[in-house]
Amino acid sequence: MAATMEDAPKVQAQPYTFDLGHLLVTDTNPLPTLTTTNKEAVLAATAQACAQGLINQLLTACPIIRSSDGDLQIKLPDPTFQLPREKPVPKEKEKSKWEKFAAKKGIKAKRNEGKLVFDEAKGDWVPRYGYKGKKGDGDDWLVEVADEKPEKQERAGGKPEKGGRGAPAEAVKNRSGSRSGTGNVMKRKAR
Amino acid sequence: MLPIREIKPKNARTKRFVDNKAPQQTENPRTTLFLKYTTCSEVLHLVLNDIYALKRPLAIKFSKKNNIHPFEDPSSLEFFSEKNDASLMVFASHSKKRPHCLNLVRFFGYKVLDMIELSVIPETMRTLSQFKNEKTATGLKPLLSFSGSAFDSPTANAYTLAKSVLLELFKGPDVAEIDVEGLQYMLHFSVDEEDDSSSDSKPQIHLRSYLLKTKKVPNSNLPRVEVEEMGPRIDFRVGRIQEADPDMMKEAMRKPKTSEARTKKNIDTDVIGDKVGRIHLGKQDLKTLQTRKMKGLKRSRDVVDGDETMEGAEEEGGELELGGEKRVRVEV
Repeated sequence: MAATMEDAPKVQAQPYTFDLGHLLVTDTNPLPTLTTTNKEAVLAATAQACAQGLINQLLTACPIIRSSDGDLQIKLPDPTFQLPREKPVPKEKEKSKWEKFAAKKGIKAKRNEGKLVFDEAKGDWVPRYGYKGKKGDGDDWLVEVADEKPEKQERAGGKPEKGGRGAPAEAVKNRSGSRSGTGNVMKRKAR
Repeated sequence: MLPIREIKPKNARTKRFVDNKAPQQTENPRTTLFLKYTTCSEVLHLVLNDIYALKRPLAIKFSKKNNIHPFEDPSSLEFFSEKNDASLMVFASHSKKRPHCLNLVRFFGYKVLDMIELSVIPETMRTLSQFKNEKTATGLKPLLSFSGSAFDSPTANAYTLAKSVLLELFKGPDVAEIDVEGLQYMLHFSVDEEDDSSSDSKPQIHLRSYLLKTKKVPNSNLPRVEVEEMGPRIDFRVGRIQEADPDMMKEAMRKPKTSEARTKKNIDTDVIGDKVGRIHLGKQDLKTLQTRKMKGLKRSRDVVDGDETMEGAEEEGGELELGGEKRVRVEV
């Protein structure tokens, strides 16, 4: 409580109210009457008292953290003096059909895991796929040939054989070719 | 004024622009627009420049003169507010009737919320450049102080409005943390006391800006603060005000739903560790209780009169015990 600049000592000086979220101090003590000679001095003294009070409050009431750069940061509380908004509160967006369905079914969106994955053995981040990736490395690059037949040979790294699933593209194409109207086009047009 | 065309975004950049302009949960800091009337005095010109320097980069300055009367017809200002996405305005005007006037306007949803007219007293005005000392860097958040009983009066008056608007204008963006070194300057607003003798002149608002210097004090953690005036120095006389429409103000003060989850009430944990809650049922009207129908007890049956009446009386009690084995189950 600062009472130094009050020139009527019988009046009880009121304490300052602080709103640290805004770095604001409110001093409700009535200002002493200003004459042209003492005006700036009185104002400066009042301001000094306010500044002292505010800095004291800031340094005592708020937690001070040392940031990574070595600076001292003061964590400010939320402001108490409510100021009006500049725009109305936004309306809640209506959920799209998919969002409603997903919420009802409990379907969660797929999270993008990123390209790198932490490899415990190496203790470092490696690409999830591709060159120097997680699957590539291994001591099993050298695989002994079990027998002579090339179809039954194992691949290095324990990888599965590529291809060989489903019908080859040629067969699919020929099948669809039979369905398309190569022969019947003329007949259709004649109609 | 023609309404502004609605921009339908055709690329990501314009979409970002439109989304930034749209209402948001946590708002952007207010942009201030500085403009002048057809006649403007030298004093006002300097004041405008000084405040603009203080508010940068969240400030736009128009150079053309505008023939606008804010208190009569603010539609032009509303158009500017929407076009520039500026929710605060400083309009400088000078006329014989109202010399050296600074109109501070606050907007809500691009419509005028409230306005206050402050006239600068030219004799006591001092600009930033007139104080020959070091200034602070631009963009720092100032410390603010309001002195005088008028600012905190319980009834809403011109001074409480002035406090709110001046706070909005000068406070800068809201931050969660601030660097200790960033506490460099303080803006001090003070209002003289109501003088009953000279009731014709309303008390003035004094704006002073001080650079803060801290000195170490022995035997104490807290430093000693010293103030050095760095400018600008302005004394305002309060003019007309336009208070906010109560409905609009109520709308503006509404807080959006907080995203943090509210603590769930009524959930306790047992001694064992089970989650328990209380089910609150309303009060039961025992007269309308529906009990199990005991056909054998109906009056129509062939029973001795005496037994009948006794059993009938018991039934009304709501509970019936037959030989101690059967119990009426009350279904709620």
